[in-house]
Amino acid sequence: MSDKIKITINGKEIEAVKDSFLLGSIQALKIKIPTLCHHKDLTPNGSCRLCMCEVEDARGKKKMVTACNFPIRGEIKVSTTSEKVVRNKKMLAEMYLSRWPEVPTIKKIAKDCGVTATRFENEFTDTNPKACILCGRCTRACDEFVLERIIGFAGRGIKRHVSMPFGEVDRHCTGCSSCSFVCPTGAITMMSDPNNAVDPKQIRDHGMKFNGEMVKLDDEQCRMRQAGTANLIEIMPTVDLLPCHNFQFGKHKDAGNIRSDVFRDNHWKQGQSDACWKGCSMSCCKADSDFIPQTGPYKGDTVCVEGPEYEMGGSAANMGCFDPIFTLEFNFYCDTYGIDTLSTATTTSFVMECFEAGVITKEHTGGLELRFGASDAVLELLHQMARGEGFGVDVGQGIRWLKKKWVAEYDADAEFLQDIGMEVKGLEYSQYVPKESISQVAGFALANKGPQHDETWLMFMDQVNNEIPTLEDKAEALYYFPLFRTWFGLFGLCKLPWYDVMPADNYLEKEYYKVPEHVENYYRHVESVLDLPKMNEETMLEQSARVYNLQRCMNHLMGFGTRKDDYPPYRSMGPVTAAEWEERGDYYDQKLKESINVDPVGLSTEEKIVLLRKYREELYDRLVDKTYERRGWNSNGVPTLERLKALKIDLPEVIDMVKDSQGKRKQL
Amino acid sequence: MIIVNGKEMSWQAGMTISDILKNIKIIFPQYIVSVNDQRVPPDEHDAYCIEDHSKIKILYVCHGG
Repeated sequence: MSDKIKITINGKEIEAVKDSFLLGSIQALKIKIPTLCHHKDLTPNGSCRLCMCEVEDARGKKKMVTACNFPIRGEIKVSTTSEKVVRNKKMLAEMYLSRWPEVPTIKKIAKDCGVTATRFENEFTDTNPKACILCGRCTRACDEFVLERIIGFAGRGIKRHVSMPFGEVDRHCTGCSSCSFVCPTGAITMMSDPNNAVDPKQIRDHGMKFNGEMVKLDDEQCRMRQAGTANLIEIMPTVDLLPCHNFQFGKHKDAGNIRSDVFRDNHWKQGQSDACWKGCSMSCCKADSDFIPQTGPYKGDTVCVEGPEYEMGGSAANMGCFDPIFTLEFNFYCDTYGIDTLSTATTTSFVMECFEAGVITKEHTGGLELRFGASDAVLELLHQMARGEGFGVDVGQGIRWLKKKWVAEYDADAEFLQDIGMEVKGLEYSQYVPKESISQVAGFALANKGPQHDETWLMFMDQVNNEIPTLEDKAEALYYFPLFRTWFGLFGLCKLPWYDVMPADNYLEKEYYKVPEHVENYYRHVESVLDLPKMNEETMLEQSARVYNLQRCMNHLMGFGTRKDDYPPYRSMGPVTAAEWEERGDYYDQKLKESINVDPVGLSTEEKIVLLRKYREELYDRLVDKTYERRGWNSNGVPTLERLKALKIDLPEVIDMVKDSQGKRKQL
Repeated sequence: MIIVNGKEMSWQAGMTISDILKNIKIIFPQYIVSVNDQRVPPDEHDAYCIEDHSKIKILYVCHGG
């Protein structure tokens, strides 16, 4: 069952993983072997030939191989010290020395090979101690770390050299410094750092380790380079987290229509560059540069549309429009019109459920048949929104506004609209189903800006891994993650390098779910750019807490910062309708037994919904109490004076904001 | 019998972590494996033989969004 192979190196036995390269096994035995073109994070290419070994296979056949790119596929005996190997290495060292006699790396390799002088005369001798020795690490770093090929080899034979295309400066080079980081001689060095970072070396050390992780681990982990965040579109339905039909369901039979590979195979033309920062080694951004919209002002034109990211897939699923062309067109027009894709999709999903439930009719929608899956009607509604016409004017106001209008003017059921209208603090939910993770319910609803997942994303920790079982554990997660995420958001740093690739040794971390090494990357990066004292996790959280609590005070001032404003629609917490319950009937029946020890046999679906709802709403209240306490807020969700003092933000203006801790709206 | 993420699975002599991973549905490709609360390095999954009555956890490392 094992994929390990026993091999012998210089008489010592070692087990090697099948298909691993021989150099790794040699180095694992701490046997010295010279290398020049090799870099641990780059694809080996064996061009310098210095890691030559003699390999004998099971039939006794011997051959010379370069260890860095020789895959182990059978039992072999290896010698790094045979007469032939030593003779070859000396010859190579002499040749290198004749060409670049003053380069320290070459001199050291020659010395290690027992060579002090060269027998060769070379009319192309370069005595520059920082000469380029044509190892090719830089060209591979450009290609593999940042997915560019800005530098490459030009010329042939003795004229071979590293160059940008046609010997001209390529404007695509962002000065990411990957090439200079891996250069063993200093032939490529950073001449200036326009950002004037106080410690550029620390930035590069952490950044290049991250680049190495992307090169080696991404294909097996999140596939960010291949699919971006769209990789989640196919994963979320497997754990009932893909919002379908206004968050009623977590999966749908047609969800496969919008898998990431559908877009990869049929749409994405731009597999390398990144829209937010060219030079990013994660390069998650995907785009279709030959997309032809079927509707609207750009109908028939060829346009470039970004995405889809995961959230766009979730948006399409929520509206029941499992169509890749629709997904791209909806996103294109939201971007083009400057309308938030997620809020628009969530609001439209709410409208669709209300239409199907009979709350509104074609009379109210101006004739639009807004059922789930009606992609043409959705696009027409979107164009109306942008033009300021028809039903689009109302829908553009968002869910909170629609609820008020429909209750006041259409005599709609206020409780039903409150239960299914997925908004908190006036902002619509982003595209995850939180209802089976009470931590995520709170994560969404307690977020200062409204239910956006960039403060907290705990579904896997909570409902899949069961890693935070107690209310105290959940409250701690609701303390830590919003502070960390707020902190790097304040510095304008992306979330993805934190969690969308995992260091190979993350399994050793007690708090593996924080990916501590990557958390450290963030604050080391900031302290390296700015002239700040050495930071740690605690100082980072304290910095964030000062802003986070100030935000909460501002929320309070604006009338959105008390407990009532942290209360979510029940749809985010559990099934509202019989259809929702019955879609996962066995699961919810089991939840009733586990949670409140109720035998569901003989109960109607409606009775079961009421029982589960009572339990979950009480649980939510208890979790909110714990979380407020952990955050240093009073039971109404307002930061206490002690907390403001401890954070050194007890300025008179701030205290004035929260003086009325019962949350009565103040006049600005 | 062994327990994998809370569910029973039949045990066979010589079965490795990799054998288990092939037989269950891996939800998310970033994960950590622990056997009886001891984390196991990824490069040992092929060779790590599971003993009967072991408790195996596959912990997914995912903070989407």
